[in-house]
Amino acid sequence: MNDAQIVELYWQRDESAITVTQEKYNTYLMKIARNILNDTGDSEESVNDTYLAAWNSMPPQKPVVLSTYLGKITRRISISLFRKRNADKRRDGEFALSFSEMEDVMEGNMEPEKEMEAQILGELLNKFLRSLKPDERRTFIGRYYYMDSLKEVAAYCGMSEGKAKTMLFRTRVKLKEYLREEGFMI
Amino acid sequence: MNTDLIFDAMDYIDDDMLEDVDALRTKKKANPNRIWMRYASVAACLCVIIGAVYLLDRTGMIDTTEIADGVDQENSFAGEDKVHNYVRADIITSDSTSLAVTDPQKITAIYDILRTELQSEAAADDKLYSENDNKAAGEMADGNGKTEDIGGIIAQSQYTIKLISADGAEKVYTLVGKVVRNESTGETFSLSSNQYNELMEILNQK
Repeated sequence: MNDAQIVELYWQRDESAITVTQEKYNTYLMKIARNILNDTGDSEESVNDTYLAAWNSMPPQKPVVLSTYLGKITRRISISLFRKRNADKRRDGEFALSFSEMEDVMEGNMEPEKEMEAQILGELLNKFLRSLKPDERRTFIGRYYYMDSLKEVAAYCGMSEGKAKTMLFRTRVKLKEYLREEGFMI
Repeated sequence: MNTDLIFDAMDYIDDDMLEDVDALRTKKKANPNRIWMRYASVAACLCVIIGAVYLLDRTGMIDTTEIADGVDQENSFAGEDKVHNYVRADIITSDSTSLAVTDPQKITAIYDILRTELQSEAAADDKLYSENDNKAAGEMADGNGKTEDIGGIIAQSQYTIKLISADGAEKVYTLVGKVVRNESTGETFSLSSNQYNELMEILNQK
């Protein structure tokens, strides 16, 4: 069943929509959740919450590419669950590693007058990412959005781990400079 | 915390950039055993053919001298009845500009790209494109320059490569790619594999 047909099931309030979604995307969503949570039980909880969120959001939403839409929901829920469960302690896993890598980018103080909301920062991020070369963009998104390991990112971007690591480092430096130029970091 | 904010901000990354990466992530990995089996079966077929030709030649049933003479095996492809030696590649892009390549090394490099089963790759891998793209890609594979608008993604885009032999025979291949239209950035073209980058390198070489 293609995505348009599955979305139509949601719109018709046909409960088989969830079963069909699960059959098609469970493995895909579990990968995203596991990258963040590093725990099968928590990942299953996150993915189950994703199906509920999907049911509650369609309609009115009508995504064209269901994997991207569901992936965003899973990612958001998983990060939220990670924060809830690990407020004080460190944890293993790709999200924890990605988080520590990104701390260098955001180590400055925010402008006290401005409260940068995620959506505004997201728009800046889009402009920044579009300015990058394809490999730079893909490694960045693979590592920090999908939270894939460095080894996985290097493999599907067709480069060595060393090259991917260097590329990510340079991209983080560029991002930090970009945010500073945009006046959001001091 | 600031670092939390940037991870939250990534929720707003445009879908087309995410889909571009997701296509790479979910591409089915080649099974090494399948690759070896494919090469082994091709090698076995070649052995049978060469053996048959040798035996038939020995018995005088066929004359192989005409085929062997003057044919560059690296720059050749099989036509219907004979092997052709191609001396030119025309690259016809989706916006109708064309580029003729006559350098034998460049032609060989382009031909190496075309050896992979481009059309079956696009048709067989259901994670490479969405199902709607698969349908459009299948329709593109017959060489017609058709476009189909699917939710902001223009599924057509192709480089048509026409190999032309010294005796005028032509063989046409199509590299099927994907064009994404974004209101702010216009259109970007990308092939689903590294072939686009390889092709660009070849075309841009001095």
